[in-house]
Amino acid sequence: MNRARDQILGTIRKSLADGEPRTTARLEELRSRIQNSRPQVQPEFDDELLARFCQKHVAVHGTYERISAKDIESAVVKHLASIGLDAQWHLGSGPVLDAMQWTDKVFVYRKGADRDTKAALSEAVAAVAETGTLVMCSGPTVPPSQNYLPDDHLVVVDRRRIVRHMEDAWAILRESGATRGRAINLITGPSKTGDIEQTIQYGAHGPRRLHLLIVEDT
Amino acid sequence: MSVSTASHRVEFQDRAKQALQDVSLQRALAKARGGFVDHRQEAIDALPEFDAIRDAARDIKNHVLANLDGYLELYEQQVIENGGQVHWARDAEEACQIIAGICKEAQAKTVTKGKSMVSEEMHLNPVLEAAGMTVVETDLGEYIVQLAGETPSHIIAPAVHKTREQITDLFHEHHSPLGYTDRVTQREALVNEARSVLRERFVTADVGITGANFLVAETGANVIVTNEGNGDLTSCLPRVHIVTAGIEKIVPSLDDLAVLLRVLARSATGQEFSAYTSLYSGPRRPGDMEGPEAYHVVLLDNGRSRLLGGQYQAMLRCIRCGACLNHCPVYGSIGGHAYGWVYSGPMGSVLTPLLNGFDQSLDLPNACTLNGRCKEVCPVRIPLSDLLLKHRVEQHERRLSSGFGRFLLGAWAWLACRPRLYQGVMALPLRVMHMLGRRRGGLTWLPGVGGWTGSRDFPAPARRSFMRQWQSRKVRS
Repeated sequence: MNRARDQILGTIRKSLADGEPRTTARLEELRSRIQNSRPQVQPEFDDELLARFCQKHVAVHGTYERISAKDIESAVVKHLASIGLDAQWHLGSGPVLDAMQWTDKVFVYRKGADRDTKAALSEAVAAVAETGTLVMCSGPTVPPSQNYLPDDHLVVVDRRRIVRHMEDAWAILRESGATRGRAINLITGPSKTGDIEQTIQYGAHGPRRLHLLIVEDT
Repeated sequence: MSVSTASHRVEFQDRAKQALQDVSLQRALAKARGGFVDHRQEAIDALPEFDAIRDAARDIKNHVLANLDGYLELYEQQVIENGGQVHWARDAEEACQIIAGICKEAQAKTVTKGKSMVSEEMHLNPVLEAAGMTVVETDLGEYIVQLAGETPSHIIAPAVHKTREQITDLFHEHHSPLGYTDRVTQREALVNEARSVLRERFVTADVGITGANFLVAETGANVIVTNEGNGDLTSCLPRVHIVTAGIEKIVPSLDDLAVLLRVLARSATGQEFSAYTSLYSGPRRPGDMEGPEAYHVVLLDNGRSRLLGGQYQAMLRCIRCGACLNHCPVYGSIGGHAYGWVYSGPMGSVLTPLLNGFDQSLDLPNACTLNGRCKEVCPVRIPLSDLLLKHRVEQHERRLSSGFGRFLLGAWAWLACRPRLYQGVMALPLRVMHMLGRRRGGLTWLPGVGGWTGSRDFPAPARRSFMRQWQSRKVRS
């Protein structure tokens, strides 16, 4: 196996130059290019971040409501009831959700979703106004299956965590160490497929609906 | 070699002919035509920076290719640091053996797969099936193609050649034994049925295999760009996650990734961003309540490393968006299967001979009108039509092209280098063609090129050649 590695790297070096292995100095140069990496060309827009984010989210078939933190539970219950679901869901984690005191009128499961999970409530680490994208990071209390198995995915977005470009989200992740976790899931709208006659159909394998609770007063 | 050359030639022409006469295929292609093209155009019209971003994307890819050995080493270090393993495969067979080995060690019975063109390139499924495993493609298009016992006909829309009626028949045949006895015909019902059948597979699979749109050296993550969520269920649920990728898939940093993501989805489907773009690195971390226990990356060379530094290096910039297929009139007429291998359209016509050998698929670089749309739409500015021309030159120089064609070219070149003789020899045929085509303005048939004139007229030449007219004007003045 190591022979394969050496042979492939050897052919690359021979094709590119004289076949000499990389010196440590050269590797350091590449490493430092990575460490000093900066945003490059970015789409410019003047829109206010929240408005832009909501507009992009709706454009990809998402729904949202803007609420106050104290109304999260009632908003979730009401939303689930509107699609005929009971007040129970799989629960993720995040600064806003972790501060919640759930009443005994609801039932939350703090575990990964399974094949029959109807609804999950997660919190986005960041949201990108550029494309209406949610940034989710896995962790001990954040199982990524909650993003993909439920029919209905509800996500709490702290308004202050809406950033302009994708690169701004990377900066947050690098700072918090989230890039060292197993999964970074960027989510832009509900699951869909165009594989049958190139016509969009929602709810392919992941959530059929994606509903955001944008919290304005954290 | 001449025998195999001849047989390949016949195969392509036969397949193309068959495709043109295949009513279902032509209906499916007609339905797809335009959709991709229009959506891409709308997405690009909405992004004034698109060309600048394309330049940046090209530059990132060039930088990586010029330093590929170094970036592969840095990427490998990161994967290991995250607790994953990197395997290197020189060719398709080696890659299949490595993957089969990992699956056997995990005592896998069921293997789910996300969409991976590299796994198609290495013909992985038959190898795993021969080892007694059940392999399930989970991308809806790939699943349809798998049920039909076919290969993808488009790198991002594998079942673009299938009509809804054909999909209905396939599902009815394969899902009835599973208890889905109603024959469903509507799109929504078809998608729901596949969702339900595949959900069972996702939660019971032992190993998940996905591809990678990118490999990020900064974090050691593989990136998958999808819309359905199947790639994520394949990455997250099984005990073992295997990633297959070509060695050219590296990007240095997350900021570089952002640039490439801005051109990928727009070029592929006209989306600003796909529904799901995910970065996975290593197995589950200590304390995680779910995620695979093992994470393997199998890096495939299969001829790529030889292309570096040569005249076809630009082809390694390809991010497999499919824009060149969608804009190619040849692809649009014959579909992907006629190309004979996993990669089709302009990128396939360039890549297939490079990876499989120049003496293979000789017709592919010639099955091109050189209209240049592929080159125009490529998000990383690969000069595809120029590379196809290079292939033609190489075929000529290696004497792989037809002997008669080379003789004609040689004769014409000899004549064209002797201007007086050339004008003398050409005067008579031009005059005859002028007379014959005078009335209609064109000729409906010419000896020896009936195939060409079969579908269009040859414009009638002027009575006298340009040189003659020029000379007589000079005399007059």
